Amino acid sequence: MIMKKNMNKSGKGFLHEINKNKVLYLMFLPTAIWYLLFRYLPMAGIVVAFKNFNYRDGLFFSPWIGLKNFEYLFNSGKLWSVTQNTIVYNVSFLALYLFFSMFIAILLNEINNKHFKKVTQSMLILPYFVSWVVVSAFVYNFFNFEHGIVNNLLESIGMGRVNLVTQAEVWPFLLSFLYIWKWIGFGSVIYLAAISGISQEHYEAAKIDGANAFQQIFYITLPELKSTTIILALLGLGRVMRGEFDMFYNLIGNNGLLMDKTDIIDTMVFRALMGSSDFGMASAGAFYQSVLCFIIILTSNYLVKKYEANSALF
Amino acid sequence: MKKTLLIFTMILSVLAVSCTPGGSGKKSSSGADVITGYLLGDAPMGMELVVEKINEKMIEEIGAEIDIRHISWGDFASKYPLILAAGGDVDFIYTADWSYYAQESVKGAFYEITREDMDKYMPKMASLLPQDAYNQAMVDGRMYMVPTATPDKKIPVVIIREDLRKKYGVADINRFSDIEPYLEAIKANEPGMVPIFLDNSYDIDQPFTALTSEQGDRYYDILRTVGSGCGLVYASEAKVDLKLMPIIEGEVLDVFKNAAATLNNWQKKGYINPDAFANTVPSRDSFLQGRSAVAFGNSTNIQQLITTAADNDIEIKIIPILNANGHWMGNPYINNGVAIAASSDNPTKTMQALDLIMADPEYNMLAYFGVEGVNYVIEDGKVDLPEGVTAENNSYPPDMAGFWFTNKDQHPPLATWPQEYIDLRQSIIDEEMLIDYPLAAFSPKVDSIQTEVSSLNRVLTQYFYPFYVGLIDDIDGGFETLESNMKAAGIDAVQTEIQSQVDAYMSSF
Amino acid sequence: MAINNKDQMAMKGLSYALVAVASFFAFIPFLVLVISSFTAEQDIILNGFRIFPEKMSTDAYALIFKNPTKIANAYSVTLQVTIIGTLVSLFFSSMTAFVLFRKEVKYRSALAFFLYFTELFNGGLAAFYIVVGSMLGLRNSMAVLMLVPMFHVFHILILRNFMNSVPYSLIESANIDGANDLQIFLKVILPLSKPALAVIGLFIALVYWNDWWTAMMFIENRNLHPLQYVLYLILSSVNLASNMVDNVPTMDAPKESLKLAMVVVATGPILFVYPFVQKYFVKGITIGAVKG
Repeated sequence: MIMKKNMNKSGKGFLHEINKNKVLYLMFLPTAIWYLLFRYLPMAGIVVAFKNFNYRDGLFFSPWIGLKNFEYLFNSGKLWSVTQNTIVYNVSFLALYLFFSMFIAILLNEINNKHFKKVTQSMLILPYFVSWVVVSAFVYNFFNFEHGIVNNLLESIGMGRVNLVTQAEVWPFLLSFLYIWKWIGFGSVIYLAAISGISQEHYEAAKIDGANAFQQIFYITLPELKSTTIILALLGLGRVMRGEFDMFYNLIGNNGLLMDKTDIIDTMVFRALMGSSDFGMASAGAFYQSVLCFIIILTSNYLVKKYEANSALF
Repeated sequence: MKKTLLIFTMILSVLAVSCTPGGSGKKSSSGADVITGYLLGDAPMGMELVVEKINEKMIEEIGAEIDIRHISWGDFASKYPLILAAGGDVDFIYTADWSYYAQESVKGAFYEITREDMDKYMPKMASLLPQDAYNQAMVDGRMYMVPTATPDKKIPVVIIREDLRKKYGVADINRFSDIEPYLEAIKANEPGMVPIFLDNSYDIDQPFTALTSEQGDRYYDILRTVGSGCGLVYASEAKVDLKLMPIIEGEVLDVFKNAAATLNNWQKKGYINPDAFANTVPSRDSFLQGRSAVAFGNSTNIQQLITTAADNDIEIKIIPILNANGHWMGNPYINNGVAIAASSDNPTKTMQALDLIMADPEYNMLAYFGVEGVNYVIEDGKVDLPEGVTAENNSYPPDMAGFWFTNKDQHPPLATWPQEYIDLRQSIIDEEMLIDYPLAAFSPKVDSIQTEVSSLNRVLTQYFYPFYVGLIDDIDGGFETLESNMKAAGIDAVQTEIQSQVDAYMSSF
Repeated sequence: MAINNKDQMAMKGLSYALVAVASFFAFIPFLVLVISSFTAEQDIILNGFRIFPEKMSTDAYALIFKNPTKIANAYSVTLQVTIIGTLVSLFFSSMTAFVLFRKEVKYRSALAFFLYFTELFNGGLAAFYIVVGSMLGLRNSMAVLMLVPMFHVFHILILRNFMNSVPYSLIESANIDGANDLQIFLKVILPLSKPALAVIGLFIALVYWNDWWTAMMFIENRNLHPLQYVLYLILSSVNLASNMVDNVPTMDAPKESLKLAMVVVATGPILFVYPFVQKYFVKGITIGAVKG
């Protein structure tokens, strides 16, 4: 009913459309109700980013204070650099994630030995279950200055020990590696399912045309995976301003020496608000991320819609 | 589409506002008022039995019963304000200077407790609390918490391996600043050990704090209590002319540079673990396991260390950390306390119930030590474990339930206390180590300088914390960078604002 | 089954080798994790995590299973929530995906945006806590554990994407046969989407299985604590209490190995179930691929 206004432009009316597909709209209803209750209703809380919160007046009646809650972000002098960090990290994570997930899925698909495939695939998903707290314990242990496995290895090949805690330049690579390590099993599962949806006739036809195994991958598998990749990329881009807080916070902690290279928006907001319990400023940080994500996703979705209409998110 | 959503969201927000929950007094099946209280930590297994025993008495005496819930340590930061914001289902909640008491009070989270309320509903506590306690609990002239009547008497300590010190012929150590020869001996003779092995949360700033404290007065960050900092310290035992100083100026800077240089030297010589920022094993654990030779703690949390060390035949020495005058800042009354939620349906009953729990010996013992015969017995005037109950399987270990605000003078000593621990407690009192620092209970209000404070918070993490572990080689350069960043973050504005608050605070006595 | 061409041989060889290397990297840390969870705390503090520790110990597990009925109860809560939650969520998610996939639905992109928008903007913790806990009154109920993590745009949109590979002619012919949209969804789409349902079902199940946040926010009744939250509480009390509480009776708690044992306890059951789910997306592929 709310949508009615917008709908007059297109020949037949809104009610007609609803009536025509009423079963489909009804099928959408349960999810819609959930989204209204659990997502849109709480969304009203967004106003607190513009309010000077107090408990007496609550989230909705506390006095407005304009953009005051945002000042700590914009006056920090670091906003641009952490925003940059966030984008660079997330975009590289996303690209690496997509590439390696697809790569591993294609390889797995080539494997005929059922047991080998099952076992390796189970192994690949294991890192997914290891929380970042534990990953950070591992990094600490493996790279421990005195007895860490990696440091022993580096020394034995004559490269000298590294002290990760002081060497900021190592971290972008280490973080990317860990990210891939943790998510590759998860990502490859999506691609495996997508590959299983490719019709076998395509391959048969290609074989008759004399395509070799590599050509089959290049000319059939990869193009068939394009829509999956686009949708995953879009979904990833929509989160590009939200860092993996758990990852960065557990691995970097309060180590000031690494901060220029590893501070992202989430960790900066967290650190800035340590020692305060201000809903308003926390919301302001989240709102800043939301707005940037919104711009990015609208742009990228627009571009996708223009060239690959079927793969667009909305 | 966007317009549609906007309208939609607006309708929903109106809806949300009109449905804000309104509480109504809760009654239990027996008709008693149910008082819901939140404590920090995790409920021990025996919690239900204890609450049942408390309620048996309480229903009879004041017609109320308590319902205790816990906010786990890990959830504290996120959940504490939410419970207060949602309201309706909370009557009392633990509070303290370090758990944002002042901030939350200013924002109207708590019910104001007047002197008359105290006399009328909490007569036992009213008779126990000195005027100082009331003064400390004031926020803008109003009191929102019932502070403990018995603030903890504790000082930080450093523990060393006395056996190893003797073995390597190092002279007796009585101050942390004299520890270097010991560290050197350990490094040279104990290949499996790192002399000082810091963790990234509790220990990390301890050596720095110890060194700077011993060099003069105690330099205490004015925002330290709420788990953050602004780089503004005060350092005076005297109540006159209280000046706040940024850590990048004057005498503070010299003292800090000295400490930073010492730590850097130790770091270079391998006396401190270089990866302290990533280590999660507390120094007390690595000390007991023979990985390190120095442990950090305070005079109350080292009981277990003393006992375990004795069991492992490790001879230890406890070195108190004090300032140059042999003093340390006593904990303020508001270091433990309880507040009544502004949304409580029954503040008077809640106060009555709290009066019993905090100051009635029977309730107090129940809340703190559990059920007599099940969780503890009294033998020779000491609290001991009943037959068949061990420290590990005790379903209600003392102190663990989170009733930290009760009157501890009513608690007998524990039979498990080792002699060294008893001696240490006694010497703190005998040697008058604890003194009142004038600003110990001062809680700055930061609403008007929140932006600057958050920037400073970050600047300190990035440019100051590395000094803690001696990771910065160029001390002068490091402090210059710190200075320019603190200036850019607005230290001057913070100093002006908080100084004026301090002046007002000092003149209010 | 015979492999006759050189290029195929090369491809197979490469696949086996690279997959083996990748699984090795994924597996070894986990192996170290499992072994270290059985290592004495002292050994970890002195020597770090190792494949061949000097001193084994089950202290960490003893601490977790100190109260076996609590853990058993937590497993049972988690299982119920995961099974029921996953089935309900998977059904409605795929039904939603089906609606978004249907070209006849003129507003499908508006509907997708309606769902996606919530990924971008949210009202923050406080509003969520008040709406779900107080207004909807879901605090301390099994329902809240199932409802809060129920839908994710990610899952719905991936499902829609998978449905794109279903030939549209199937739907049209079913339409002509007089089937309504619900019937088409149940009889035509669902059976054809098995691999996708297996994958997304797995993802949803993992979300439920790993969710401790909902319990932290909305569950105070200890009988309704799911496994991950119980483990989280054990860890947080051991780690933080030792610094905050004065009379800590269990300061000797095996903190480092405990972290690892928690992963083992929480992951174990999933690893047993995984192969059963796996067969759907593995089978989907092998049927045709092996022929050549």
